Amino acid sequence: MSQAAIIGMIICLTITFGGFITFLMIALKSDKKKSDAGLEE
Amino acid sequence: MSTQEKPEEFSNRWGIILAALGMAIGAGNLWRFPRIAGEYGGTFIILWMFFLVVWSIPLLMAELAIGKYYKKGTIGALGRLGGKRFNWMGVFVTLVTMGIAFYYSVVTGWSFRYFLLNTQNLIDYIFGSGTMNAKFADPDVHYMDNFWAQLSNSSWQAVVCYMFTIAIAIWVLGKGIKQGLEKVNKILIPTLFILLMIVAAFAIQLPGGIEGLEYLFTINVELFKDPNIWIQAITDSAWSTGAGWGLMITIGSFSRKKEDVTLNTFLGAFGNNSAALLAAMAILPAVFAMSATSGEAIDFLHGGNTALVFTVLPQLFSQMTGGPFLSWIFFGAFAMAAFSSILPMMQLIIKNLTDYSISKKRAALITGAACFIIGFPSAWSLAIFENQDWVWGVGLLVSGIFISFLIMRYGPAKFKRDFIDDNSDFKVSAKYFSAMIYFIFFAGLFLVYWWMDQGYSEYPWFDADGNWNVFDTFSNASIVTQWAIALIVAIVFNGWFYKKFVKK
Repeated sequence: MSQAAIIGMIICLTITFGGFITFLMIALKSDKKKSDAGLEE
Repeated sequence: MSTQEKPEEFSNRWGIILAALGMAIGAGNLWRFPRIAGEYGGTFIILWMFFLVVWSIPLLMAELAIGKYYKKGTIGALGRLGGKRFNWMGVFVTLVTMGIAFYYSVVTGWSFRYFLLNTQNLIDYIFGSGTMNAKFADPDVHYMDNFWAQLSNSSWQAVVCYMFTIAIAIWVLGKGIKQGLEKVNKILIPTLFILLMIVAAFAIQLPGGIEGLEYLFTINVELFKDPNIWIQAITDSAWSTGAGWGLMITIGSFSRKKEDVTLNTFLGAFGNNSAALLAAMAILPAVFAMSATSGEAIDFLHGGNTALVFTVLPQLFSQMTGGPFLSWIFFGAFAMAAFSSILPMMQLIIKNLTDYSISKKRAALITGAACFIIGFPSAWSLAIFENQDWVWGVGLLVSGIFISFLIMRYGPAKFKRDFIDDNSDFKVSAKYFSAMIYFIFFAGLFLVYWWMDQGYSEYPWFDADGNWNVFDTFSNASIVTQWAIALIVAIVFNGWFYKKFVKK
């Protein structure tokens, strides 16, 4: 695999999967916070 | 009557996110995105992610918030937002998505038929003589070409398959949101991701598979100057995420008051793009690994959505060791993606009918009957299917324009404060949201013009004899005529729709 493709892959995967995982973590943290505070049903 | 029924809600944010993912991850993620991404590479992916944030997320966020705020289906919610004067816009948005639901049930039916075919092939491969797979693989036999040609034209098999799809969807949706849609999505979506990961992992390690990744990820800076790639990226983002379809309004209408609109939208939208990229990482290496040359692989990608998935891929899979197993997994994923998308489309119709005080079960049956009757021509003729896909696909851009117009009229910053920020831990700036709503309106107008200007038909408006070319599959005359019918219905019966769906 060429260097350009490797760089491209790192950029594309970071934006797409990185974004998804980041928002997933934020949601999980938010749920935990609400659960700890007794707000979640 | 539904007025006596307890309002239904998703259990928690994950119910909403899974429904949003199920809605967005459809056939397009598996048959359109990998083709376009393979053609333009990493340059396209970067622009496609850019337009996710610029076009799709603001629109999806607005739709989810509208549904959550008004707790009504598309006609009721958009009618409340726009008032009686602009109620017809909500009706048009609804009719466009109904138009898609009618032919999309056919796609789902095809996907089930291919899954069944691949199941038969796998059983024969493992326990039988393997002759079925040998027929798939032999290019001189043209087994897959013939199978697809038979299934897509005047085939009772296709009719039975889409009837089966509709029956299963009615059964699921008739159970309600928590027991039906939410439960099914809990199984479908994680399984779909796992299946795509399995195919990707297999395909990448095949000899030549890496070449597919090379095509997928190489960023050619020169391509940024090509306006075509920008238009492909924004259009694919709009079609793939379901922004402007009104489906998120439907999902939002079942959302609890305390749900975070912004975070749930971002998570759903990025999840959809992750699934699409995963599908591309499965399909492109597979196509490149199994094609004789890179040129042949690129020709396959240029062959069109249905040709790639229904004729090229099964034949290519059958030529490799263990291919029937991989093909079976791929078509399992394809069927799941298609089915998870038809569910919210049908739910959109059901929700509007229950707003009209029809009971949930009766609404599900009416929706199924409508899908069966109006979807029949698309199941019977590939030309009609392609026409409907084209007419209502471009129509979605008009729906996006209408929704952004209603928000502009309300005031985007005020809309964000009143509708979106309530109970949101994660917030975006008002300037970003406002700017994007204005952008969607004007970019949407340009995109509709651009797609109609493409000239896919030899005679876009009038045929060689000077007649209005309404029966041509890809003509502008066909688009304009069908949109006009939808608009006339929406405008002529505006008062009735307002009284029955909005004021009630």
